[in-house]
Amino acid sequence: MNEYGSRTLLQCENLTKRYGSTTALEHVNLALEGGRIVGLVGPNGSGKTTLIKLAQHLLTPSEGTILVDGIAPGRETKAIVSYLPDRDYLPQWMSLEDVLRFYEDFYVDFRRDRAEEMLANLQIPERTTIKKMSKGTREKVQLILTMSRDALVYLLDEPIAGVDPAARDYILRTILTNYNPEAMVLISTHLIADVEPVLDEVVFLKEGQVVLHKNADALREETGKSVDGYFREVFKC
Amino acid sequence: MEWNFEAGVPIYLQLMDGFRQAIARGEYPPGQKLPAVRDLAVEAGVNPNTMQRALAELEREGLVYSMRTSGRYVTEDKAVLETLRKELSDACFAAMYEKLTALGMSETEIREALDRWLSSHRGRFSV
Amino acid sequence: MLSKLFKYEVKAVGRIMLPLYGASFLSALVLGAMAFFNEQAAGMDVPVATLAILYTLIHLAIVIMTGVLSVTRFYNNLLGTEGYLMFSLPVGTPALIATKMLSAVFWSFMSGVAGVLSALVFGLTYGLPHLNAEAIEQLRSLLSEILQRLRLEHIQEIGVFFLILLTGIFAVAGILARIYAALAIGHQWSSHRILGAVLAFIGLEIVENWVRIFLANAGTNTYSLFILETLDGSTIGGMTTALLSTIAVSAAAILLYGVITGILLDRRLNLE
Repeated sequence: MNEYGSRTLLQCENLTKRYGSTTALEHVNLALEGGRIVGLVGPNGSGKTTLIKLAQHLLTPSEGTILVDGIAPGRETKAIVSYLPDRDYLPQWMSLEDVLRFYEDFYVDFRRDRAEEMLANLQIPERTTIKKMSKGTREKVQLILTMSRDALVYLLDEPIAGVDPAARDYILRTILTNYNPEAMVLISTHLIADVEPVLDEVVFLKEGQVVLHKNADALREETGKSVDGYFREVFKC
Repeated sequence: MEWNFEAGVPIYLQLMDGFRQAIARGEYPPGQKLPAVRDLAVEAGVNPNTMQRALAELEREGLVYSMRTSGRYVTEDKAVLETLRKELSDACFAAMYEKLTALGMSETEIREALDRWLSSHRGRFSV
Repeated sequence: MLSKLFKYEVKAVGRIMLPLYGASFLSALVLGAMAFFNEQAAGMDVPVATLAILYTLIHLAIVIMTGVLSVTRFYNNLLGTEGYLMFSLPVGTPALIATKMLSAVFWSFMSGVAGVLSALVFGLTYGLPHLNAEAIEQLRSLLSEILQRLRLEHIQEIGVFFLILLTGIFAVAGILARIYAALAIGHQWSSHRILGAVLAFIGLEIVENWVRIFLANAGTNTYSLFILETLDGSTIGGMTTALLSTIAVSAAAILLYGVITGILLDRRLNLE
């Protein structure tokens, strides 16, 4: 429970993931609550994507447990988790119309009207196929689909990697405007400066381990640095 | 309002400062209703919880008050607004004083310099 | 949920197969008409031959695409980047696998039907202009003979016919199930996944053959009947037993491969 009276939506206990001889996550203990926007930050290869994929049952733990709203990831949790992968995942042949119907068919919490309103601003005709969209447009469409669900957990894997400042503002505004206030939003990034103002909490991952989990403002106050500045200090080579 | 956040200072404190300035300048006049927390947060590009915290602190200071159902309003209390202006101007003077004494100016020199500066700029910066 | 998954799967494949079927019907129509006119007025040998080749190629494409899509739909949609979407749906892994299997069987069947229909279109366009009293009489007798055979006392033969069809469908599904299992096994490697899948397919084939031979040699089970009866030239009863046991063995294999695929994709998934 936190001051907003929320429940733990993501809990990891002794969570470990190994691929062959390499260890991607090592004995991670973490509890993230609803009503928070959490930054999962760390350099490339620190285990951010692995953690998110474990939460979505796209990977299974080598050791330890991970629970989403108290349940082991699977069919049930996928109905309450809205996940944005760090790559293009929509079938190329589908038109925007197909994609909207697909989301509507499979996710009861999908708000089509909300998606359509946001898509209208992008001015993409509904018959355009995913294949014909530019990379930037496709990324925005994917984000809109993800944020148009009234989910309990949002897992956003590197939503702002490689975008220009205007697109970044658009993305952050879309997240802030649409997330369900009861929900937990987990944003993974290696560009902490870009998302810093929207975060409640930050989790630093380094070589598969949690090295810090703190309220973002408290961290700024204690260190006298921006979270980004502190991040650079922790991760300097 | 245009927001730029400084490193190393909690964002809610910077938000509070921004609101104090805006209220003192009359950008949010007395009795004006503030937009919803979520909208303010989106506009500033900050976390809604952080915005909520900043407003709650301002409420504690008496600069804004909330009506249970209809939202938050800027205070109409003249005394509170007067104190706010005084505090903000004091802060400006304090910063200026610190810089000028660092240049080695005495209080008399500062006073003279201020008079001279004010008279030479009179009219250009009229209120 | 299975029906929704099936709907999208059929659509994804249909957008490629339906135009091919359309092309097949269209060329059957044109080929039939041209063949007829060529007979009447000659001089069209070259266009007719060209079109006949095209017609054959279209059918070759239908056969190849049916097979290729059955495999690539599984590979790309579940194990490629689209897997991020599919495995994020609130559906079970078995439903995802079953959808691919059902759709592949469905489209194999449809391609077969399309082939028959296309031949019919060709026959009709070529044959209808030939229609005269004599031909109609011939058709009538052919039709009545067919109806004769469809009478109740021949129900067993008709049953066997459908059983053969079913055996064929199960055989196709059996191979697909093995391919899917092989792809799931290949997916366990971090690189060279296709090579892994090919090796796994060969390995599974060897194991499957051992099991089949073992079952046949065991003698006690119905599978051996199949071999004996068919070699005999067989009675209807023997045929039925043989076909049913073949179906049973295929079904068992499909189930086993399905379980292997399901467990691997549920517990050992690792999308790139």
